Amino acid sequence: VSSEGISSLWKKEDWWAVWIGFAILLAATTGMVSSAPKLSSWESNPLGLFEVAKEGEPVRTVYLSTVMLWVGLGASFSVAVTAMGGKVGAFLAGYTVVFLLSIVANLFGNQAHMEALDLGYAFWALAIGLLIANTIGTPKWLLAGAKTELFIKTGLVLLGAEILFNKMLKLGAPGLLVAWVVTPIVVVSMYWFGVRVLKMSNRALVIVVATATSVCGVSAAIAAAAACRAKKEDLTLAVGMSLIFTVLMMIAMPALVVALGIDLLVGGAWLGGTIDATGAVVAAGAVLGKEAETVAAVVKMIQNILIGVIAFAIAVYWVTYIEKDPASSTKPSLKEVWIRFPKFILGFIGASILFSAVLVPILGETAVEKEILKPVTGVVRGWLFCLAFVSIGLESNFKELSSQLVGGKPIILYIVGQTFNIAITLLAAYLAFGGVLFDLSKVFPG
Amino acid sequence: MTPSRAREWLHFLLGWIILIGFVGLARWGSRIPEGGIGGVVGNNLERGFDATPLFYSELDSMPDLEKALSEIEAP
Repeated sequence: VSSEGISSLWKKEDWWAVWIGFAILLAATTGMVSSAPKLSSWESNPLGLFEVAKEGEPVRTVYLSTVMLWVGLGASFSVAVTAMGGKVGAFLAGYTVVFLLSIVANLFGNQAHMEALDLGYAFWALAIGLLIANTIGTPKWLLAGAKTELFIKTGLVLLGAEILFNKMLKLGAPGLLVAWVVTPIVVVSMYWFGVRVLKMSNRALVIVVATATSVCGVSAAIAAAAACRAKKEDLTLAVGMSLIFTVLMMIAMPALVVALGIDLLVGGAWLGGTIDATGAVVAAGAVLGKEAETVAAVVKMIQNILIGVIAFAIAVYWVTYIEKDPASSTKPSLKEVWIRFPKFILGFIGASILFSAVLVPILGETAVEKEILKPVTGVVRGWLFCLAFVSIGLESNFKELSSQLVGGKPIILYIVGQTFNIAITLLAAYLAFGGVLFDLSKVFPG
Repeated sequence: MTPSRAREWLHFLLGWIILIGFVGLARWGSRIPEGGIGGVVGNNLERGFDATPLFYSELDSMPDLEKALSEIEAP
């Protein structure tokens, strides 16, 4: 901090993401805030979005808490905007519309058929933002409230709290082989393929696509994009491809397991290691039976945990090698690395360590998950990602997007990378869960 | 309003109609065929499963799935 000047603590967006993120974590941990408005699934009545049901009957609504969330986030970000020299009035006007558009994205994404098809808020938020930006154009006053980076980075600090390292060993060595050995191999291979074989000059796009493909889709893309300061169009492209292919893989992969006669434990691990998003993994596993669903979900969970390590590694690699002074032949000094390092990553990793190493041992995993992560920080994080996706859409234009797609290289990268991922994960799943390398009676004593 | 601006607004309105129409079609559209796409999506609809969670911590069923690990028998 001293090398950048102490004022960076209140003038830089990265630090504000850390302060606001930790303020939310503190409010949730101390019980000051015990719930946040989670919008519900609805079948035929759109107002069901705001109703919380218990055993099929609506018991309360979340209108007031949604307004309170709008006020709370608006106030927090207003402080940050003011400190960073922005105009609060302009921010609040734009932010309010972005918030309303986020509700619309949730309205579409929470319809029961959309949920079943895996077309959630991320898809709709991007679609709505892109629609506005590429038809009538996003007015300047609205862009003042589209604080994409701030929303994403604050959301990532909250996501850090959900990365509980004690969950890594839930499936022992077989789980680690599929989720923690294969995944980095795929990331590095895809990066090499994109840069060396496809000769893609936009390295940020390559690493964002590689991370989304091999780790956990949208959330991994967000973390990687923030870690390497990718352009919004890069993130839009990676997320768009991930969302589309996740739906296709959710439908096709279980059929492939059956067609190939693959053992259900191996098949479950295969689904968990390859399908990008967690919900789609469980949906695909469920049609194969409880065993496959369970193994698929837990392999995916272990893989989710890896995103903290990958985001940190990308940030270090980027500031050390990619963003270094081209005129300099030597490695940048530690001071230079520190100055360029995206500081919100410290909040992201810090939240993970705080929750994994301090709060879980003190309060217990169930209490942390049921009282802090699930009802408060996870919900707020979802809202922040939704605000971010609406903002990204509002700031993106199809001309920029199509310029990235010239030659179809990002799509080739995704398809080749995902094919490699599918093949190598099947091999690892067979070795790990097919009784080849490990004695499974120790993993599954039941 | 200039003709080009009018065209932009027309595209904007058409876009909304398409988005809303897509949700409406899925809601009121025909039945999902058995097998293939119907296998996973139909199963999701039947058990009211939300396939959209991006991260494991968003899944309501995750704690139960973690517990269910102990019930699996090694082959």
